[in-house]
Amino acid sequence: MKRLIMDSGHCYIEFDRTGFPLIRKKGWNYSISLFPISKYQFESFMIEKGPRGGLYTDDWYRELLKLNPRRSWKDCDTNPWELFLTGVKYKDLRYFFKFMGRDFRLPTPSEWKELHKASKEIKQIKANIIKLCKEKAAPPVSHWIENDLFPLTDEGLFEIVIENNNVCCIGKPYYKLFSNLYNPTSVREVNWKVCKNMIGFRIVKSSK
Amino acid sequence: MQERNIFFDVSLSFPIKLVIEPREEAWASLYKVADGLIRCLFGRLMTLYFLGNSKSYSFTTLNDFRENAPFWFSKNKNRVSLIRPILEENRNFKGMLIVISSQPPVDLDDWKDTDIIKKTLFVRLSKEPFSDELELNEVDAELGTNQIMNAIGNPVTRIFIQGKGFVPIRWEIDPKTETNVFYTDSLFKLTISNPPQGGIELHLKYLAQEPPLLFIEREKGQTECISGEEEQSYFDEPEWKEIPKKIRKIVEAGISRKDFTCPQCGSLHTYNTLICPQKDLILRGLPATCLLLTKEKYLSLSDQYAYPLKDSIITKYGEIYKWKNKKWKYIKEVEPYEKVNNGLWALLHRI
Repeated sequence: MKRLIMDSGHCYIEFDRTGFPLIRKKGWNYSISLFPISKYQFESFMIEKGPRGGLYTDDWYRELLKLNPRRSWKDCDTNPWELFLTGVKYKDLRYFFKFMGRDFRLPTPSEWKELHKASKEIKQIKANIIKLCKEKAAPPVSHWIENDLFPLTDEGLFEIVIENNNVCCIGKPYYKLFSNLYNPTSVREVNWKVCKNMIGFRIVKSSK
Repeated sequence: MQERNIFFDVSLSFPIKLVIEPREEAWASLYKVADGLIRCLFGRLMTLYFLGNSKSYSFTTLNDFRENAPFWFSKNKNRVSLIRPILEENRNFKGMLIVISSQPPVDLDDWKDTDIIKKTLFVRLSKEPFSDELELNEVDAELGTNQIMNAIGNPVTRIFIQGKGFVPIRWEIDPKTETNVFYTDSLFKLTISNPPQGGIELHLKYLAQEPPLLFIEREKGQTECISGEEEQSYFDEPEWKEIPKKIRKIVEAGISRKDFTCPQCGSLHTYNTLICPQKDLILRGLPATCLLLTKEKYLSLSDQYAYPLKDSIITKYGEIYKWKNKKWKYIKEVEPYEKVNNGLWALLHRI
C-alpha cells in the first residue's frame, strides 16, 4: 500500500489481485476501487477461475456483451461505458468476490458518496497515481487515468450499492448512454430489466 | 579495425503452438482440424492451449494427443474465448500460434497492431472473416489441411548480415548456398539467397566496428535479428605462393613499370600488358582473379572477398574502398601493378 499526499491529508493506494487500484483516504476504514469493475478486470477473474456451472461460460459472457458491447481497453475515447462490466446480478457476483478475497464486498451508499466527495481531490493527484500504476497495475489502468476516466462518480454508470441487505443503485449514467439529469449521489431503485446494460458495480475492501 | 571471426547457427524452421476454442458444441470439428494439423506438423507442434486459459498441455506423440485431448478439453470446456492469457504467455515466442475457433475471441481487438497477432494464424470454422479491421492471418478450415498448411508456410525471403563498418572477408556456409556481397550507401551487406528450409551454419571472418548481426526476412511478420558468437579463426591463414620462375621477371618489370620482352612473341610489351596480342596469356601459372604481389610471392583472392590494407580494403574484383569518416568509400578499380602497401602490389588478372 503506497501513501500519497492530498490537500486534505493523505490517502493510500493499493492494487487488487487483478492489478486495479483501490483508494483509501485518511479516516476511511475501507478502500474503494478507483473505477467501476471493468470487463478486462472481470476477464482476469474468468481466466483464473473458469466457468462455475452456467456462470462465466463463453455463452454467458457473449450474451452479456450483447447488452453492452466490449471495447478494447486501448480505445477509451468513445462510448467509455463499454469498457465496464454491466448487467451482472448481485447474486451472480459471489464467486468474483470470493476470488478477490474475503474482505471484499459491494460498497454502501455512504462509502460510495465519500468517494464522490473526494473525487476532485483524487483527480489532483493523478500524476502520482499514474506513477504508482506504471509499476504495478494492469495495462489499462494508467491509460484510463491518463484519459481522466476515473473515478467516474460524477458521470459513469448506475452502480450497485448495498445496505442492510438492501441492494439498490447510485450514480449517474453517461448522458450519451441514458439522457438524464440525475444527482449522482441519490440512491434509487432502478428497473433491472430496462437498465441492466448500464448497471455496474465497484468493490470495497474492509480494513482489518 | 581488426579482423575478427564470428559464427552464426541459424534455425529457420519455426516452432508452432496450437490453441483450440473450448466450445462444447464445436468440439468434434475442432478436434478433427487439430488432429489433421498435428499429423502434418508433428515435431514442430507439440504444445496445446485452450482459449481462456494460460495453462499449456504438451504431447510427445500423435497418440499422446489423441488419448489426452478429450480429457484436457473437458477441463477447459466452455471457458470464455479470451486470447489474452495465451498471447501474454507467448509474448517472446519466436514461432507461430495457430488458433482453431468457430468464432473470434472476445478480446481480439485488444491485440490490434501487436507483433504477436501478426504471428498468429486463425483457422476458422466459419465462413465469415473474424475481423476486417485487424488484417488477421486467417483461413477457412473447410478448405482442408493442405490449404491450412499453405497458410502456415512463412518462407524466408532473404537473409543478410550487416553492421557498423562491416566488410565480409571470408565465409563458409553449411549447407552450401549462394551468397552475394552488395555495397550500397557506404555499407556492405552479405546476402544469402535461397536458404535451405532447415537452417544454416555460417563461419565468417570480417572487419567491423562492432559485431555484425544476421537478419532473417520472411514473407509475413517482422524481420528477425540474430547475433552470432565470436570464435577463434575458423579459416587457415591465406597462403602466399611462389611466383613461377619463368614469369618472375615479367612481374618485376610490372612492379617497376618497365617494358619487358614477351616470352611468347619475343617482342617488347609495355609493363601493363597481360595478354600477348599475337599469342596468349602472358602470366601463365597465375590464377585469374585479383592478386596481391610481393617481388617473389603472390596471394590469390579467389577464396576470399576482401583483403584488409591500411585504412582500406581491396576486393577479389580489384575494387579499392577506403575507411573515411566512419564509412566505406569506393575509391577505384586497382590499376595493373598498383602499389597498395609497403612492398605490396595488386593486379587484377583478368582473362
